[in-house]
Amino acid sequence: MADSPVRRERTSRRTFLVSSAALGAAGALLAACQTAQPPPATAVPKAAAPAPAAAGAPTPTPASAAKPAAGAKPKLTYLHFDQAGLKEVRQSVVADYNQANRVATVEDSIVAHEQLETKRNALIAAGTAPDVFVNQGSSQNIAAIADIVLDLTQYIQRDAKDVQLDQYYPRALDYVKYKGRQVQLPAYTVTMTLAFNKQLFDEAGVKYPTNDWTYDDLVKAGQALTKKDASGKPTQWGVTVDRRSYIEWMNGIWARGGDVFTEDLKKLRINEKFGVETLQWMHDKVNKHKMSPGPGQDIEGGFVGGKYAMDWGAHVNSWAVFRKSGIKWDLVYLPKGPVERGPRTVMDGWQIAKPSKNPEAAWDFVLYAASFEQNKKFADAGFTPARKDVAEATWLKGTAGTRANDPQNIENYFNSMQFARHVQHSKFFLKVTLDMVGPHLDLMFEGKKTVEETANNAAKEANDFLAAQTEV
Amino acid sequence: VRGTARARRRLHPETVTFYLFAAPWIVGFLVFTVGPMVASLYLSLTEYNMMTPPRWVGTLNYYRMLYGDKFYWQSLGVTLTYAVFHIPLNLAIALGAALLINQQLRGIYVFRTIFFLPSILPAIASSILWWYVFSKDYGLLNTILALVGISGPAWLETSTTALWAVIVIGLWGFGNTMVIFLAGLQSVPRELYEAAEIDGAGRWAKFRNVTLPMLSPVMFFNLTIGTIATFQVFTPAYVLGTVVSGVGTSGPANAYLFYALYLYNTAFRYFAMGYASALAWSLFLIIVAVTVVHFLLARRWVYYAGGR
Repeated sequence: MADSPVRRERTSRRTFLVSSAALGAAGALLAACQTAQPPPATAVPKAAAPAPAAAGAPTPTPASAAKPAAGAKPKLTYLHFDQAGLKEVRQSVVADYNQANRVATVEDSIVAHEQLETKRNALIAAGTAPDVFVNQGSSQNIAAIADIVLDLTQYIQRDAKDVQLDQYYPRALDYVKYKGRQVQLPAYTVTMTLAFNKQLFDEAGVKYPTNDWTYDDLVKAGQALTKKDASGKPTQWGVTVDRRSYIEWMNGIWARGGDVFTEDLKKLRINEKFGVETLQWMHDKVNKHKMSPGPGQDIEGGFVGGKYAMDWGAHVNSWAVFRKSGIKWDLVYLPKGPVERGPRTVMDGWQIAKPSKNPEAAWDFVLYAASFEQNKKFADAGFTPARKDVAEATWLKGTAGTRANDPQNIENYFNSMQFARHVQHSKFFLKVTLDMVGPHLDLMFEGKKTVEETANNAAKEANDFLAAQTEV
Repeated sequence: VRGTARARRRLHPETVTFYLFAAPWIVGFLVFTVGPMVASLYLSLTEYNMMTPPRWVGTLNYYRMLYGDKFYWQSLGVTLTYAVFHIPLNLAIALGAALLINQQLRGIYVFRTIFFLPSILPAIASSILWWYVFSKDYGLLNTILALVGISGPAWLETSTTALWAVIVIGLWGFGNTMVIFLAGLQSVPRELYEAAEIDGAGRWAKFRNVTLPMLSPVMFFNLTIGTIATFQVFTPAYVLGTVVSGVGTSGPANAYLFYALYLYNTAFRYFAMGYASALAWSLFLIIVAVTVVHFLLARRWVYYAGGR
């Protein structure tokens, strides 16, 4: 082949490879340089707001947004996630909105529950942020996303009559504020309560929990409801314990008058008196009172399987499973701690992306979705609304949906919103609580570290980390 | 002379045709492999959360990783411990199984299939299956131990035993390695065994002096591929961590904090993409270094019958 006449061909191997490499490098650089569009500065237009809806609460869906000229309707993208019941509710809201012939048309995009944040961030990174998206409710989300979503404060002030902030549970509104900005409009709440299995209480002859229960009452009942077989193997536990995540110790800290972080979010306070007492309480639930399982002692089936008499921190997302299981159950406030109850609350809601090209239309959609009529759909599907008027018109009247086996004392859930707490919004909340505190809790429950060592080690690790961060 | 040299560098039309046909793969490799690698190298020098533009931080991510990140070292420790025990055990079991199924027996294909089956079971399913084996009160292992009066621990939920349980679980999928060993065993020339027998070699001598040297290239291949795969263990850690401690967690006292899980959490739970890219590059460099060491050491123990 070396003698081939085609030597005269102009393309050399080197040229070809160099060209290909250059092409690849250019592609790579293009990919590397493809970044999120910087969020445009947004200001709420002073233009006339949609005319207020009919006076009087509960108000109907705001229906008076300015109608666009034919063919000029902007198209909004709405990202939400697939979770039993929720997807259908949100799709129904979208369908109603599109049918109502308002200022925009909405196209929804649905992803798996655990993919929501990845999808949202990927869309933002690609410069194709959805106009409106659902926030899953984690506190970290509020802090992490705050800079990329619209501050709704001015919109809310402008359209106060339609928004009807006074109809929301105040704690729900507190939760969705970040550094003074209203970054989300809440849809439904998830607040901790104490759920109990009535059948197990009846069998053991123990009186049902009440709203004035203290920790001592919990211990008495928990011990009476814990059962073991002849070999000493537990067959039933009195009450669940959250050994690993942050929910129970965070609640315990609030119940003792403390908080998770210092005000500047630079220090974890788990090693302070209230934190140590909280860890001691959790440790005692397992090792002293022996009413909750230690590592490896959980019984398959859990609360819904009738293996635990009480579920500490049960919330609305568990209720569907409770109902399906057929157990007879009800709920009360979390027992009062030394200072307060401090049940944790989080909530889903709507956020508008700063890069949205149609913030006014996006706001119109959020306003519509948050209206009484549309928010009622969440209640009818079994979710607990963030609006008081919707709760009163549905759950508290016993007309929320057609489900059987709802908690009889549902008012306990909504009443507990008055003392609900939410964690301070820190970008590193999950990192600190799950990665830094969690492993130390494991060692405590395994008996390898004392309560004090656990609190101090966790605090040191978290505080060293937080001190190294420029922004929390 | 220069003209001739230049002419030699010109491409034959067939070569051009080759490159054109290969172009989809070459372009694919450059755009979908080299491109993302270059992009991730760039991102590793930035702070990037996907929501705001990357901010250049130079080598800060690498500095933090080496000097300020406990989890980096912890995840490396977990992964290396796993590798040190998993790789030799996996090779030994796979070789043993390959020797067994290399016998001329009736129904040997059934045995080969049975031995291979676990490796095609989805990793998530097999992780859940093993959770039932290691469960404290209801697990198969502790039930067997109880028969002889031993009260087994919560294997997967205790920080001292959890990683060892994962090492055992990892051995379950030895089928792929076994099949490669089997192919190697079947390519060893019979005459070598016959010659050894004439020299009076017994079974062990034949294995040591014929089988092992002839299998050494296959062993080297399995060792290298196995090492690379071991550094990327993810699924059992993710699944068991979720089952034992909750979604995305890393087991009792971070016993399941494998490097790949740490990288994943950094990228997709915390969206610290710049730092995650630095972690990815660190992993890449570690794997390259280990592989280079393998190749250097291979000169001492790998025998190529046909020369190098």
